[in-house]
Parts: sequence; structure tokens; C-alpha cells
Amino acid sequence: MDLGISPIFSAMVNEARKSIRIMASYKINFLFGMVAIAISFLGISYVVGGGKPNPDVMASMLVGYLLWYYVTMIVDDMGATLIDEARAGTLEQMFISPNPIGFTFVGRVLGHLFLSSIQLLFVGGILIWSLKLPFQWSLDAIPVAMIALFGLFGFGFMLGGVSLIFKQVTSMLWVISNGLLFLNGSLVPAEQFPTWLLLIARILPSTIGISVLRSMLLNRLTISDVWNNGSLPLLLLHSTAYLVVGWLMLQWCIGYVKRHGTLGHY
Amino acid sequence: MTIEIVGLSKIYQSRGKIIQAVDNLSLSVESSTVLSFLGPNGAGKTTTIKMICGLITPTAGRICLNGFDLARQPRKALGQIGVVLEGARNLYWRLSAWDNLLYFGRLRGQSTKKIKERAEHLLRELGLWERRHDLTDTFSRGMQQKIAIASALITDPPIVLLDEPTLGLDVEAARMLEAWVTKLAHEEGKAVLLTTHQLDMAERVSDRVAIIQKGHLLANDPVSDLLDLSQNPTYTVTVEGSYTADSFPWLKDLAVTAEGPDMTTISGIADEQRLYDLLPRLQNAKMPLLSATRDQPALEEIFLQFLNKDRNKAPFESKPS
Repeated sequence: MDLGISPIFSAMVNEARKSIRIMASYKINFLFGMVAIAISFLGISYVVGGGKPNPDVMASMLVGYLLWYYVTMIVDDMGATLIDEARAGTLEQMFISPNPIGFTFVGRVLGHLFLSSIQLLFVGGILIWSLKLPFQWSLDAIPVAMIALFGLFGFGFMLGGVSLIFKQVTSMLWVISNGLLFLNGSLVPAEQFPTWLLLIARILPSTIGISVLRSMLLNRLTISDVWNNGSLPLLLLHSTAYLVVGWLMLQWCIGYVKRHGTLGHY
Repeated sequence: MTIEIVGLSKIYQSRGKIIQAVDNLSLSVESSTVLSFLGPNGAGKTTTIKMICGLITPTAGRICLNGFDLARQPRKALGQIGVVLEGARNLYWRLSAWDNLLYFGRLRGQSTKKIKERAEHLLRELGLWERRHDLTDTFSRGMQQKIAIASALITDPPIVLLDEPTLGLDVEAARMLEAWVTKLAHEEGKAVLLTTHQLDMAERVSDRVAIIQKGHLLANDPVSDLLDLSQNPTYTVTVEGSYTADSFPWLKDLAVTAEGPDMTTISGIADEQRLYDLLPRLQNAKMPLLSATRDQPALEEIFLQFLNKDRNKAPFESKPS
């Protein structure tokens, strides 16, 4: 097989290319999607700020909001889009490919994440610049953001597996992605939750990532600081657990649908 | 053997029910051959196709694709096939024909340079080169199906699996696809396994036909051998002379056609005994025999005979393959 480059990278580039082409055929949707991201954020900030948005609070919320938006992208990609592809027969074509389906899924998530990042950086950049939000840019935040995103990958694999088996999960996925907006500390820092809710919130994907990124981008902590105070090791452990469990769950679900012959049943 | 299936079985267990979808199926398809896989709905055709392409895990049995064992060498085995599945678009409608071919070629691990060459070849052959940059949702159903098959062929695989390839196509598009399927096997040397409910199409394009019912293989023979198995052959006789109903009342229950002022064709002669009864009468009536032929039965008739025999559990004989 003439791959030239590693199968995952090849799959990522292929999926990203496909997504760009499809996105280009929905240009207006894409542009208004970005406008919707900005308007939703402004609206939520207005409500949370009691009609008087505070730049410090808005900056804190923006970190959570953008990471939450990644969650919705992954939920959508591994849920609704996967189900649509199963209906269209293109998912079965992915499974027939000689490339291991797991690699294709990783490439697919990476590709879509790359495009989401461009979209979010653009919207986030405009919001930060136009609202003069007090961000402390730091290159240290990039590897931490990557670790947080790996955890989201794992969550995406779990949802992908669930979607393959249960099919009618669109409403459930909607509840998950919107529920996370309120539970992962996007709007209000999770540290302000009651203890019992904080424990639940910390198990959920993205909560710890939001907390660590906030402390770096808003409170000027360095990567050494967040390592030494234990929050980065906790994020690393949390993301690794999600990634490993998500991957194993996806593999089990793929085996299940192949044994039951239900991959193309919708 | 390009496709070799030995002892393939699939049992589904659902809510306490056990369903044997495919039962100990053995089958092979050689290169340069079109094998049509026929059976009623729920016979196990699609389950078999999906097991061949790794979408369903068999309960038992072995599948070898161009010499590669699907269970032991799945990547190499899957690299040998191109598949178009039933009832699915198999394409991204919001991508152009060109982008679909590039995407599926890369998905299958082919280099971009090779894919582009092959995509151009396929699109020109299909007469879609000029429309390569149009979104596929602007294409007719026939054109979309052509692109779906082209996507399956983008890596030039030696094995092609087509599940109901002409479903929903108009006559012209279906005939075009039939010609293409035949060309793939007979000119490009591919092994083509297709399922269809259109038995006339299967008769036209197939070299061999396999019939399956309730997961059991009932027949796997060359088309000509199957047609010879007809249990109710009919005969047609052509004689000199013209026919009038009043003069030959013993021909009333047969289809008699005047082929000109001096030639008459009598068809629908139900069996050999009737033929032998008829010939002396025609001779006595001064209608010299020009020809007597056994009518070629349609594949549909043979197909139904096989299914009915199996339903009635009568002993069944098929020529050894």
C-alpha cells in the first residue's frame, strides 16, 4: 500500500480536505455559524453579568465557552454526523477501507478539530480584540490545551461507539453537549460549585482543562506552576483515562456492530 | 480463485431468537467472471456480501480475497476489493464527483498521483469528465450510481462487489451499467460478484449464477447449465404453408403466427409428447416441417423452480461445479 506518510496523518489530511470542501459548499452556513458563536457568547455574558458584562468575567467565560464549543464539535462529529454517514453508506465505505477504522476515526476527529480551531481562533480573536478582554497570552498554554483536547477525543470515541450501537441518540447528544455548558465550569468556575457538584463536574470532560487554562491565561500561572500545584498532572491523568477508555469502548462497539450486523441499520 | 468462501455461516442472536442468516456457504468466483448471487428478500445475500467486505463478522467459515485471508490479513484482503452497497448513496453529495473519487482513493491508502490518473480515466470512460467539478447531488440517479461504482474502482481492485447495482435506475442507465459490469470482468479481468432481483439482467451479464434461500446455497452453476435444468420445456415448430383456424382446430390451444404467406410458426407446445402428436398431423396436413426447437427458458423460471423445490423439501439436483 502506497501511504507515504503515516496512516493517521494521511487520514487526518484526507478528512480535513473533505470537510473543507463540504464546508465550502455550505459557505453561508459556515459564516453564520461563526456569527452564532459570537452572538451566543455575548448573549450568555450579558445574562451571567446581570446586564452589565465585566471584561474579567467575560475573559474567564470565553476560555470555558471556546473549550465547550470544541466539545459540541466533537459531539456533533461523532454523533449526528456519524449517524448521517451511516445512513448515506459512506461510513460503511470507511470500514471497508484497508486502513484500520480506528486510525480513520482519529484522523477524522483531528481533521475536524483543526478546522474548528481555525473557526474558534478567528471568532475568539475578534471577541478578545473588540471587547479588550484581559488575556495573558502564553505559549505554555498550547501543550496544556492539547492535553485537554486529547481527553475530548476520548469522550468523542465513547460517543462514536454509543452512536454506532444505539443509533437514535441525537437528542441524548444534544442534552450532553448543552448540559456540559452548565456543568463543566464554562459559565461559572467549577470551584464555585457545591462540593458534590464539583466532584461530578471534575469527572466530566473539559472541566479540569478549562480550570487549568483559565489559571494560565487569566491568572498568569506558568506551566511549571500548574504542574507543581497538581492541576496539570490531574488533567493529564484525566485526559489519558478518557482517551484510553474511549478508545477501548469504541473498539468494543465496532466489534459489537460487526458481530450483530447492525453497522448500516438506521 | 479470486474470491474463495469456505463453510461460511452467520447466526444472529436477538432477544432469545436465533436466526441462521447464512448456513455453511461455500462459493468461489474466479477472475474474469461475473457471478450473480440471487435469492428472495432475507435469503442472506447482503449478509454474505457484508461478511466478504468485513462489515459483519462471520460465526464460522473462511473468506479469502485474492489469496489473502480476511480474518488473518484484513488490511491486505480489504485492499483487494471495491464495494457498492445496496440502497446507500456511498458518496458525499456535497462533494463533486472529482472530490469524491479523490477522497475514497486516499481513504483506501492510494497515492494522490495514482488516484488522479485513475479518476480521470474512469470519469472519461463514464462520460462524466466535463462534469467532474459539479456536486454529485446535482446528478441524476444513474450518474450518481456510476460515480459510486467509479469510487469503488478507484484503486483498480481485482474484486468488485455490487449489491443491487441497478436498483432504481432507468432502463438506459441500467443497460449502460450492465455493459460496464461485463467489461470489468471480461476485458479488465476482474472478479465481479453482484446481487440483484432483476433476473433478466442477471441472465444477460452473468457467467455463473448462485441461488441462495434461507442462507442455503441451492445452486452455483454456469448460466447455460442452469437454463438446461428447466423442468417444463416448451417447443416451437415452424412449418411451410398458411394456417386458418377452421381448417386446423387441433392447433387452437397453441400460439400460431403467420410468418408470411407460406410459413407458419406454432409455439407454446407444452411437452415432448404433444410435439410428437403434432408432427404427424402437420405432415398429413401437407405442412412440411422447417424446424422444431426447444425454447430457451428464462432464468426467472429456473430461479422459481429452485426456490419451490427447496420450499417443498424435494430432493434437488444441480450439476456439480
